[in-house]
Amino acid sequence: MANRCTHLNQIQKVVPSAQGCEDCLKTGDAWLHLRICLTCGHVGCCDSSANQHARRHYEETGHALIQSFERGENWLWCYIDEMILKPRG
Amino acid sequence: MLQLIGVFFLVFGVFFCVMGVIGNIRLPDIFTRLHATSKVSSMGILGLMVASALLVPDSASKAIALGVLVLFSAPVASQAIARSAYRDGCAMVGLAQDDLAVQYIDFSYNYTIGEEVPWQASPDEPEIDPDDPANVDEQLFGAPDEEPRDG
Ligand SMILES: [Zn+2]
Ligand SMILES: [Zn+2]
Ligand SMILES: [Zn+2]
Repeated sequence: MANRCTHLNQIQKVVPSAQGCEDCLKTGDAWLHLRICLTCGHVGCCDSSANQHARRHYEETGHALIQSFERGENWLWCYIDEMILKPRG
Repeated sequence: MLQLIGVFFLVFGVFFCVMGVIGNIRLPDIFTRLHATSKVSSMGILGLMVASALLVPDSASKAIALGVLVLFSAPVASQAIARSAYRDGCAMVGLAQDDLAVQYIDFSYNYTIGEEVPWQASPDEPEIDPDDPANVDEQLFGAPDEEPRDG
């Protein structure tokens, strides 16, 4: 509890890889919410989606930090520490 | 008859007291233990106060006043104990996700669908006239075939 995320050095200035879930667009699947990888810009779908591409991307690459890619949401999630991070201010 | 109802509330209160004690012994951490013991000070004491009001009518007003005060103060006390335990870093057993553990960081950009990334150089993209209403949807949500579908 009250632990700190130690993976902030993974954050890069990224460009979103797609305007929808990259992998779902390839296979024609549907998604629920979008998450963007802050290390490489991979856009994947959330854990409530059938394919969970954002989590799968973390498991494949080790990129731990994602941000919500949804309008009106502004929070980050670290897969390793399993905690929410929010931009200050 | 009054006596019978009084005994019922006596059993009711004692039942909650016993459950609170069992919970305090068996549950693993302070938060779940508080969950059990706060029932002693709310439901348990309340039951005993109602019982004593019925069984000893002379002291009914005192018992009811006590019961009402305990009913209001016990949850506040439990909440205060739980909060101080959390702030002190007491471990939660079987915790899946700590929604209160939000870390604030210096990170300014909020990625959103269809928005231009400030540091993205895009000389190849065609100019979109922002004043043209026909372009508004495309600016906001990207090209139609890229729109996220529901579900
Ligand atoms: Zn982390
Ligand atoms: Zn997907
Ligand atoms: Zn990545």
